[in-house]
Amino acid sequence: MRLLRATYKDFSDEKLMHEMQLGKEQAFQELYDRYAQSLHQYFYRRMWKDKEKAEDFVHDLFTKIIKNPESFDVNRTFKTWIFSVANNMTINEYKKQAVRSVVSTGIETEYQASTNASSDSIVQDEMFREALEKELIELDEKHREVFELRHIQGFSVKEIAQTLGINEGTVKSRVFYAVKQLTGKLVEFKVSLQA
Amino acid sequence: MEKEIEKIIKENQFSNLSKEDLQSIEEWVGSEEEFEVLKQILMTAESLNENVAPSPKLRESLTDAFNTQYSGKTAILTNKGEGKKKVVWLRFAVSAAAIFVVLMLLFPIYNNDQQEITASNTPAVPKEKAPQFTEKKVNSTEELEQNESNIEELGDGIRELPNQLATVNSSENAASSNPSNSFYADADLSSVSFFNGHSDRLVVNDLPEESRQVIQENPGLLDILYTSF
Repeated sequence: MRLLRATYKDFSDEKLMHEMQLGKEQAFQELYDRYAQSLHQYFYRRMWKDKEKAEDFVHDLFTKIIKNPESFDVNRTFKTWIFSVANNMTINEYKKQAVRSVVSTGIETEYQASTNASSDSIVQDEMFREALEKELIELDEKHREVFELRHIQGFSVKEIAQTLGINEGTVKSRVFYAVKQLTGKLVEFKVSLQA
Repeated sequence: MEKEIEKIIKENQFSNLSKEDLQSIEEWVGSEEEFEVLKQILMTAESLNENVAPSPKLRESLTDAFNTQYSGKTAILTNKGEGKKKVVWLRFAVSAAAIFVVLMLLFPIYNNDQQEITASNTPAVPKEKAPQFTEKKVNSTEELEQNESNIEELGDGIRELPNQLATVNSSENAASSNPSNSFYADADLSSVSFFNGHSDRLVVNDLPEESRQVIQENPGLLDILYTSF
């Protein structure tokens, strides 16, 4: 068994997907091990830091893969394909629930409460972090998703383009816009913090 | 944001930036303040990927779901869910039934053909008939002796056959007649047959007219013919 697992560890995602379609359990488990955590983190962030919901989404996503493996687009890399599915799931969830403003208000409350905390550097870092998260939520969806994929999930521009089905130029311009927006807002935050 | 720009921002202090670095990042940051904020954004964003992980139970339940989906041979035959499985098995069953029916229909036709071929082949390959004259004329050694008693010894080893058909058959009979005695010298040549020890024979009457005349003129040829056959 360990030998088998070692072999599957050398397989590409796409090859694992093929093996999985042949009913190889180890191939499925290897794919799960590679992506479950990053997908969970992705859903966790996109689903308002709801760990249970994020886990449900991971479950639903892998169940989709198990039941409809042929839906995998062989012209794309597995990574970009699976994250595009994840992205579509979150978009559908946003459509279902109009809760974004509620969550935003909640975080703002937390953020304001945090600003009253001590002013040492660790706390300042934590405050900056919370401010960044708040500003990210304030960003419109298309800019937020490219920023998160680029700077939180660590995707390349090309991978983002494939995941979202847009061209690389659009990805670059969206990342640029998101960075400029965040920088501008957080400069203000820094100034207000020092004042 | 290109990796190089990201690297410049993350790994340097604003005061340490070269002219080239400044030119590279000027599109992104317009001041030292912005530089420091962007640097903090990039560093903090990495840590936003919080160390949350799905529970081990999720892995187990998904593995169970996988095994349920791909259990047995059907997993290899289909990968499109339960509904498709049924369709595939139904196709197999229908195909097998269709093949069976076609075979059952073809079997009688094939069988008739075989019988016709056998029937048409029977006369084409007749059994080799045993020479009947041997059984009728010479059934035993006693009959042979009786036949021989009808042959008159003419002297000088020449024997004359009576008018009745002279038949000689079987290897033992052939051996008992000595060809060196010009056995057929004065015999009625039209009814003399020659045997070669097998079932073939030469009847002089069957020979062309010219050949018969030659034989009648030269009875010694019979000996030659006898030994040849």
